[in-house]
Amino acid sequence: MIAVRNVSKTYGRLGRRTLALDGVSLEVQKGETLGLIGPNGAGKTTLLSCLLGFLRPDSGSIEIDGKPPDDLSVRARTGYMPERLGFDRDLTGRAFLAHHWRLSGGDRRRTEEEIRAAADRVGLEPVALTRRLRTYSRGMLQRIGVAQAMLGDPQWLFLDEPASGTDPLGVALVRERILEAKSRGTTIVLNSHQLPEVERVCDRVVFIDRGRWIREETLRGESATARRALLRTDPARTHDAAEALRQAGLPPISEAAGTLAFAVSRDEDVAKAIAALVAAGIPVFEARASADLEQLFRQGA
Amino acid sequence: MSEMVRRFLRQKSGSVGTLIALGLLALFAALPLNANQGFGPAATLAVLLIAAGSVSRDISSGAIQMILSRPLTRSEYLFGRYFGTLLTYVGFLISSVVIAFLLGRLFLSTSPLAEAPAFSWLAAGRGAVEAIFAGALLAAIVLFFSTFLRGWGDVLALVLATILLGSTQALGRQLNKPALVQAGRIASENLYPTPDWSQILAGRDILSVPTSQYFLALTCYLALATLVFDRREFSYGQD
Repeated sequence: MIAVRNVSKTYGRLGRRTLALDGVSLEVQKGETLGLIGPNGAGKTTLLSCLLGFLRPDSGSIEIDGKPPDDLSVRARTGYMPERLGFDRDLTGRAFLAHHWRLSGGDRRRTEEEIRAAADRVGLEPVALTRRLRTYSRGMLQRIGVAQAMLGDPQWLFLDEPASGTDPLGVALVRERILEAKSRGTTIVLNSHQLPEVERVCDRVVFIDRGRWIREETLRGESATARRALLRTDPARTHDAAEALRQAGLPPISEAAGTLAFAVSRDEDVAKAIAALVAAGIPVFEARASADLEQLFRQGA
Repeated sequence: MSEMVRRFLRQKSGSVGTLIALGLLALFAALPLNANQGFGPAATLAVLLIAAGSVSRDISSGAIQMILSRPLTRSEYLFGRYFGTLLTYVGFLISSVVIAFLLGRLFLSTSPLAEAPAFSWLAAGRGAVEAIFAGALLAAIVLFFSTFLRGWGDVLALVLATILLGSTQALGRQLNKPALVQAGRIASENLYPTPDWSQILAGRDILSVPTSQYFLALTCYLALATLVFDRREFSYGQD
């Protein structure tokens, strides 16, 4: 478990100090995926830096499995991907991955095998591994960054904007890798502005603004809150569908050209809405429930 | 730590500019070496070129965060950079000796200056050991400055410190202030001691005051670098 207790952090010199974190507390359970959300300058990266031991909190404490974040036994099981891959650009992709495999304490005899597997996982062709990093596109750098973070199947994964600058295929690939790590029981902390991606992979999100913990929302399971469902029906029957939803106790938030949105508190509410429409003889073309993080983001900010 | 040394060597060997500069310096160092006059100032320049920004560049590029997220202590990283610098320097010295030998064989023996003293492997070897000792201290000083100064600030700080130490004594003599001269001399002897390595290698003055000052200074610079680097924080990116 990752435990952050009342962590504060200030930057700058006397007289010009900036409070980057102001008494933030949170916990990430084993196997959980937590999303950090907030506007630019909110303190998310500072929090991530504290979680990785790059910054030391002025007050409060951070423990990962009961140990400080810079404990070597913790680091041996940690994967980290920065937003910008500022590594030796003269290295080839292969040398970069091999270097990180060895640094992570991996078995040297398995280096080649691990590199191939890591590159495969993020869709990097073997020929790309022979090229120097400085010739890589932004998307390729993100991919190899994800590959190095996941070398050796770490127990804790800290990802900072992992899909930033990648094409839609790259975004999907990064998502798949995160979900794959999640299915293995990896505890993940994700800092991202891509709200739809956060929604797809995170179990919980924490809103941070001006260095403060503002609120948190559970996106999965029974305690999931503040979700919204979208129903698509025959545009000619929009009004009838809205009426049917009202009668089912699920009044629409918006209705336009066959698309109706309404608030749901449980997964059963979506089933209830579909049943109400079908019972009224109104076709349902599509039903989708989402956490509507954008709305939550606006409320949080 | 060995992985950090490997990375340092790979960085230096992968930089064409650094290799060309070191090649030219090796050529300049080979000329006095050929006449058995040591490596000259080219060796000092080579240490500065190799050691410059060894830590600060990793900090400014953000590579340090990726490295420190791995199971590696900060001291291991720092000493990896230091030993990487020394190994590269040793490579430079070996190249200089080989070039000096080849120059002697190919050109100087057939030139009208043939009466110049012949190349001696023993003298070159002694010169190399002296240069390693001198370079080790210089590299430690640059490493110390590199832990808290940006870019080439480490080399600049070394140059300024050298000028300051030298000018203090000169100023004292100019102003006829023996106390100032004395202070400058003590500072120089302790902050940048230069024992007579040829005497020490000949088996004389091994346990002299300059020798102990040298090893004390070397230990202090490395300890200070470790202390400063261990306390440093590394932020990155935008929140």
